Amino acid sequence: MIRRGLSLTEIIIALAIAVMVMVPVTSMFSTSGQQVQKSRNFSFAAGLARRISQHLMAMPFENIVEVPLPGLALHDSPDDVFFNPIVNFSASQSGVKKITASDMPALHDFLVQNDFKYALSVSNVSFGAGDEIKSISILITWKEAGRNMIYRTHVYVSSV
Amino acid sequence: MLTELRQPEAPRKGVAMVMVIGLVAIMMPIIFMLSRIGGSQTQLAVKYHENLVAETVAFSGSNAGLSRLQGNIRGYQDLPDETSGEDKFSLNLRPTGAGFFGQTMYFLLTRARIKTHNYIMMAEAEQFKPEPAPPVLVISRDYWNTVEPYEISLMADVLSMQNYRGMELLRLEETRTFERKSTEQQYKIEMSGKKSSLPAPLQTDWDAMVTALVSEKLSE
Amino acid sequence: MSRLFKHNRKRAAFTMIEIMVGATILAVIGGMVAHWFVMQRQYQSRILAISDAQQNIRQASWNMIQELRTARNLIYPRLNADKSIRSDTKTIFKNFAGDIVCYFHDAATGQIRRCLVPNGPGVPVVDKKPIGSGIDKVAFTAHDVGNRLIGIYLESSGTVGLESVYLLNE
Repeated sequence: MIRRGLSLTEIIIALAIAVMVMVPVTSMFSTSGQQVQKSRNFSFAAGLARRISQHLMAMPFENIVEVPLPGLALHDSPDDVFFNPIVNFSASQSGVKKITASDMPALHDFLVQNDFKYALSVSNVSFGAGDEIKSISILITWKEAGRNMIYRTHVYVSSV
Repeated sequence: MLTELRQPEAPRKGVAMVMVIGLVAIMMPIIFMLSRIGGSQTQLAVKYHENLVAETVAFSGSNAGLSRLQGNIRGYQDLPDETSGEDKFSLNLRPTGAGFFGQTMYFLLTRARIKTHNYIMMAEAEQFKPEPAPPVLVISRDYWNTVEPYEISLMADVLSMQNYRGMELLRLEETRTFERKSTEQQYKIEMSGKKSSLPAPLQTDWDAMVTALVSEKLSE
Repeated sequence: MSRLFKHNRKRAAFTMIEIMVGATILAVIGGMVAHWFVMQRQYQSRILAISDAQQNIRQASWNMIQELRTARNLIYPRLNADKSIRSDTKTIFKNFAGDIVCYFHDAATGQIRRCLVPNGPGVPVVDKKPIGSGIDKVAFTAHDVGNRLIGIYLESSGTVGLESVYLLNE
């Protein structure tokens, strides 16, 4: 009936149990961190899509054209109506800032890191005779932990 | 003999207890942290996202509704749900009378609902008679929105929305009347006089803003 | 003596060697756990900072977008004389009811405040609550000749939000 101390086997089993408990907890923790970053990217992508949708309302109807996949990068890109130039605190053209490493470092780094791009799929739809309307799918793509992500929204732009 | 049998068991139980308590003490804060980060923050992100999607879909739906008017749809229509991408919106067209040029006046109501988030847009639209054939001229104006969960197909709810919007329209009438009744000089003096009551960041450029306001003042 | 030692050994169940080995193993495990815990705390604070920043941007954006959407006219900023875009840390527009609304960034407190200026007799009133907080940088940018499109750039602890709003009403 007299028992000896804990055997090596018992200790190993106890440690194995502890590791088995800790590993999922650790992965849960990193998963929750990934969730926050995921939601940041997702939220940012939704903002980009909304921004494009608003600019589409203001641009000439005939200028709304297809931007095929894989799309255009937001950073280090030529001027477009949506993102470049992005701000200008001066009273003339000379002060415009674009999404480049020198002009907007924080935004540039974030975009480079996640490779955000946008694409537009444009088609004409008709709800009846005589109307002019463009149906536009706005696609935002980015890379997240080696995976290709996509956010899609849809807007109708009327010619009036 | 009894003592000899029981004594070795007690410390082992104690060690086991300490291990359990220790594990719980470590696990609880970790789980608490997890719930703080992974739970509420992500939920907020999703809620916000749903809000914005509801708005975008309603906005898009309103455009689609206007194009239907351009396509010569007339009279009261309880329009069926349309799909905008994967997200649904519903439209309701409510005639409010005829205009000076014989054009039909409508309230175009658009509603998008993403889970618990609602976004309703109400736009006034004037639809002119096609002469001699489509395209039909449609003028849309006075967009108004609410996040309240009204039913756009129910008369009582639409009246509530109109009343709510009406309060803001009464104020619009006041501000417009003030602009029309004032001379440029009177309007400039009134607006410039507010400069001293403004917070400091607004005071610096207020003169330029008043100039812009005066140049766009409504006149009788 | 030998009998006594034997008796005590049975009662304690652990030798000094066992305790020392156990303690060493526990210390190593404890050290690893503590290191992991510190690392996770640092990671957590980074994640929380991102999360807070994101929330700040979301709240500020939603509050402004809601009102701007049905606004009537963008008064300030406006395009430059050479038609280039123009940004400022404040924006002024006529809201749905025709009154003048100003949003301005207070860099010292990191807040975006809203001030309602009556378009008629009356004094300007600054809202008690800010419409955005924890915001480091703001740029309201005029993008079009018609004064209908305004870009909103928000930065909070390195997290950026890019929005634009098209003013629907005239």
